[in-house]
Formats: sequence, C-alpha cells, structure tokens
Amino acid sequence: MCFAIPGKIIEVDENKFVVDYGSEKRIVNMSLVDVDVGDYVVVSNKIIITKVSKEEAIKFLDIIKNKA
Amino acid sequence: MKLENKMNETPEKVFFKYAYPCGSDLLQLGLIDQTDFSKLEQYKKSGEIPERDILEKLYVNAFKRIDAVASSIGKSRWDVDSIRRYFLVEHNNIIDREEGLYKDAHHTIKDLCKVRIGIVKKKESRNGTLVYSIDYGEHVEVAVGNDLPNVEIGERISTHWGFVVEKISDEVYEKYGA
Repeated sequence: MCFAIPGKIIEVDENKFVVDYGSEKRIVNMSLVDVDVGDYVVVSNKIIITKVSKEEAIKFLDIIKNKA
Repeated sequence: MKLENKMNETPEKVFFKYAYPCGSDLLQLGLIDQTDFSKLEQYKKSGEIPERDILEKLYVNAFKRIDAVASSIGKSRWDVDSIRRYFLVEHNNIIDREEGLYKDAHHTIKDLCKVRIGIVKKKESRNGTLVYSIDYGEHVEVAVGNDLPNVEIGERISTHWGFVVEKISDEVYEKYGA
C-alpha cells in the first residue's frame, strides 16, 4: 500500500526545490505543477507530483504523527 | 496484447513497474531504509528487474494483498494475472474502502495512490523527462516517466503516483479496467 507524506517547500531556485519534512529536508529537481515557497507538496521519486492544501496537509501530518 | 509483448512479460517485471513509484513512499513511512531504496533506484536506472526474494522483502504488505487476490482466483502470487488484478483492481478497492490511513487521507493523495487508466492527450520532453497529459475521463492530469518512449497520443496507458506504467491493451482493459 502506498502513501506519501506531504512536505513544505522552503526554498525555490529555478529548477531546484527544497522540501522540508520536519525531520529532514530534501532537494527536488522537477515539479509537475506550479509551486512556491510555503506550498505543501507530495514528492515521489524526486519529482513534485502535486500540491496539497495547507489545511489538509497539516491535518494529515497530525494524524500520522499521532499514529506513529 | 501482442504475442511479442506477452513473451517479454514476466511477473517480476509487471510487479516492479507498478510497485516502483511507491518506493519513495515506503522510505518516507520508514517501511524500508535508505539502502533498500537506493537499491530500487539502481535497479530502475539499470533497467534490471530485482529477484523475487528482494521484491518480497521490500514490498511485504503488497504481497500479503496479492496472496489474497491470488488465492481468490486459484493462482500463485507470482502469476501475472494475480499481480495485475491486484494493482488494477484490488489496490484501488482498498483505497475506496478507506482502509487504514486512507480513511484520513486527502482525496488528492488517494487519487495519486490509485492505479489509473487514461488516454494520452499530449507528450513532451522537459529536461530529458517525458511528460504526458493524461485524460482520465473526468479530468486531465500530467504524468511523467521515460519507460514508454513509444507510446503515442490517443493510446491507453496506466499510471501510478504520477508515473506512467504501461500501455493497456484492449484485452487487459476489458479484463481489469472496464
């Protein structure tokens, strides 16, 4: 079963995006959608696949955190 | 499906092309470690297919589900029919039933998790990566991947996690996707 944890974009530099997952930060080199700093995104295999609303991302992150 | 394609098709190959996009999710969830994930990436890069024992070790939960599907149709977990039926049918049913964390997941995440079938509307190269616009009926979304270089506009393909997976023949579509 697959799942993805949303991360928050904290830096955008041309085609380089830094995504913050709390415990770690990852560098992503491609996005399929228009994104900006502060957006919550889902990343798969180093590509930003989609955006998730801040409200939904925070809600889901809280659920995961509480179940961990 | 063309005979030539069928002959090249192994259960390991079918499993890996559907399961690979989930690799980074398993890493994020702590179900596999960085070493295992790097192995998967290396296999993908080289075009080699992992051995059965490696796939079974890394995708434990998927195989539990495949076993249930296989049992229901009287086949083994390493039968192409069991694997394709899992990814194209049961995998999506699990999400629709909102099992486990899917209960609380946003619809965007649930849609991405599903294996979906759509029609290629547009194809372009961006920084060496093929990007496709896929018409899923209700809406058009983009998907990426260099695994299907010969797919043409108007053809039917499957996607998983925003990645193109395989061309879907009429035979496969009628069996699992219609």
